[in-house]
Amino acid sequence: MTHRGVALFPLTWPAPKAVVRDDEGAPDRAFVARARTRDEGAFRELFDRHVGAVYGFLHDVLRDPVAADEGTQEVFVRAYDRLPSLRDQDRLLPWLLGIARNVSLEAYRHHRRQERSVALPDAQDDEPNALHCELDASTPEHVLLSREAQAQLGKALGRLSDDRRAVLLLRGEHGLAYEEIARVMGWSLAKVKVEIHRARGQLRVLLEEVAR
Amino acid sequence: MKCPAPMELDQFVQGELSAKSSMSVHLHLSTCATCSAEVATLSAERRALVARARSRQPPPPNLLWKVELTLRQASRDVSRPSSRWSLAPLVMTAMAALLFFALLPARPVQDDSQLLTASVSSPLTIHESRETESFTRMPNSDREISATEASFAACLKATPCSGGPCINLCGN
Repeated sequence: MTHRGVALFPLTWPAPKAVVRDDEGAPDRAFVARARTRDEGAFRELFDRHVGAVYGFLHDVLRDPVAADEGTQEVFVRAYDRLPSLRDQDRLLPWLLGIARNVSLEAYRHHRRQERSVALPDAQDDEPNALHCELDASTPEHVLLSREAQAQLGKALGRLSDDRRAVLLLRGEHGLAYEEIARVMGWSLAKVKVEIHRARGQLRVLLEEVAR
Repeated sequence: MKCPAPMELDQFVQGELSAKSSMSVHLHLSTCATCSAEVATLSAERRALVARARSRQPPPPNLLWKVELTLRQASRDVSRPSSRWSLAPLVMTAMAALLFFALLPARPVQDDSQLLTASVSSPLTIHESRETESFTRMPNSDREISATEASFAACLKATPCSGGPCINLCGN
């Protein structure tokens, strides 16, 4: 992966220092503005805030921890380079997830070229560690939040197509608006509505299947 | 009231609707079991996906270090000239050298024997080279002419011409 246009990046970047910050609750906008001026601390703060979401999205989409690791690196390297092009500085996460979506597509193409399929296990072995939910068995929450149900949810998600899994996660997990999902996926708003609706319907059928 | 579209119910669950629209959906839910069930399921799905995300293994701890390393490497690559341009100074130096030699004023050309003379060092080869020089160089001054003639005369005296081609280059 080549990275052009990073000429201003400092050659010496000191190791992060453990400092007590009083701006942890500040919106992304403040850090984005500083990171655009190559403020290393601001970039690290943005990284810390969003690395979990980006890594999780890539992990779910690519279904491979190694690919998710490499993809996350690539997302933040590109983000550093392209930060000046970010229009809405308060919506950094959708923008990062858009880059992640492109990176995942490139990863698919790369694996396809190598005629080696990306690991797409039926079940995620590292699915929920432990969810201690003591809920009423009759509620949908119980069905979907129990530990066993979490494993089933992982299986069902794994059986969705890549695109449907992606839109469902962008909406359900990351809370992106329909318009933002349309931008991330490169689709029309109408297609996003249809695909999310279909993905939900398919997921419910798959959940019933894996529960049997 | 007509049942809201699936997207509207979804936006209701996510809290994205305006206060007015939200109130309208809320009122509808109190009268429609189907939509109420759908909202409950949507809410459960969202909770399940978020809970699943929270229970997921965290990203590797060295990710930031790797990103910084990549950026530093990219920075070095940009500051360093590419391989194509790194040849440019070499080519320009070679061209300058060619131009320099092409424009040099013409110098008298030394013959091979002089070059040979300059490269030898033993007394024997120096003596031989002097003899060779005496045969190959054309005399320039009167003194050199008389010296050459004296040399030929001495040579003829030692080995007179015998009718055949003269080995002393006397023209006989």
